[in-house]
Amino acid sequence: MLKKRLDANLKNSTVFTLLFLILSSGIYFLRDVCYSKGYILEKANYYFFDENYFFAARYFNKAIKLKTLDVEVYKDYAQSLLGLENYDLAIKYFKLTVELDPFDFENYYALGNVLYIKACNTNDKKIFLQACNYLKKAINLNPNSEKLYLLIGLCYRKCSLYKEARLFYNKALASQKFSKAGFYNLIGNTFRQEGLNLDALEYYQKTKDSDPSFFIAYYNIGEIYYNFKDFKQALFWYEKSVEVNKEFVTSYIKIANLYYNNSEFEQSKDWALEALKVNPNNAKVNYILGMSLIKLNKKEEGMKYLKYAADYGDYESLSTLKTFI
Amino acid sequence: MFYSKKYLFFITVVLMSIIIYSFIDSFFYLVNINFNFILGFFSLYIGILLSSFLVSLILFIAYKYIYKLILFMLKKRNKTLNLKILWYCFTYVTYIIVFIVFIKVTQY
Repeated sequence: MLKKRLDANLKNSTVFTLLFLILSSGIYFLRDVCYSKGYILEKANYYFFDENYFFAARYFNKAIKLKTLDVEVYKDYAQSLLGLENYDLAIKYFKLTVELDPFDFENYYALGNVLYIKACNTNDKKIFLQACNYLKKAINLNPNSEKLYLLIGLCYRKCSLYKEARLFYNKALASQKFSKAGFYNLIGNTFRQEGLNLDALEYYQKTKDSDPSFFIAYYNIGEIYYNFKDFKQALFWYEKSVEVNKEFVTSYIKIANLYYNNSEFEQSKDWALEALKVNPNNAKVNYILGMSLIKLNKKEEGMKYLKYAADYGDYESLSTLKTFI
Repeated sequence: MFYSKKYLFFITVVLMSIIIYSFIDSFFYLVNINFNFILGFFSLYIGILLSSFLVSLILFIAYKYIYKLILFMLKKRNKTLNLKILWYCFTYVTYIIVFIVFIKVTQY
């Protein structure tokens, strides 16, 4: 009798569980059939423009499962995946956009860009070169897009292939459609990275000649002279860059540092104070100012700035402070 | 539910947790997180069982006092409630929670 009752319980439970599973799967499939592409895409775009990439990717993924063969959907899905830092999947879908629309240079650029980001994260030269290949195809399709030259140059420089980088910068210059100063400066940078300071200097001079308001060129010339240990000339060009752009704090730091190294503490203090007006939270500026004041026998005031520098993350200040305490 | 063979209930919930977790795992795939599948579905399984147990315990206690109150109002003799009711309550609540999680996870 008891056994019969137990069996009845088992039977009822099994039937109930089966009904439960049928109901759940029925609801799932019914809902799936009812979702329209339009609704899913509307939601996906809403989240995409709201920069909520997780939900955007989820809805784009669903739209693709609903057999949406629109390049824009693939592109936006890949962009959402890029927003989620899922580079591998983003690359897969950018490659699909290239296959679906091989005549749009933007697709190649997007693919090159995601490959570049992945390569930067993994420090993999092969991926940088893959990015270069896609960017070359993009340039073939549209030679009038500045961002293509900038990115391909960057990729080659990351692989230490400076000649190739210069080749594309020169192509950009030859097209005469973009800022000459910008590309001269970039060529100068490639020479400097290679250690060819004289060639770099030549291009930085060209940069400032073609655009006198290009303050980075003056700073870079200063850097070259600094490398030559011609500190007088370096100082002259750093000061020039400050004249052109009073907000460029790096030049102030370099000048203050040069005066400090030359034991001209009054000048180094003045320049550091100028830099402090531009960026009061800069650790290096506070450090130089603090050290200059200490050398000028204003220990208490100097310590105050060294503490600020330490607070902003300058390790040198920390060790200096320890020696004073 | 499965009062006579309780292990069958737990096996059923394990299977349902695996199905639900496979949907959740697709979210992890989007954000490029390789979370251990066994660990993931087991956490979900434990979560479902724990939450259903807590809910069913609360329901059981509430039912017990309401039952006592009704008996008192009807001036009938007080009967004790056995744990079978708690088990039934627990299993039904588990199914309800599984259903809600499934609907939420698969919803667009």
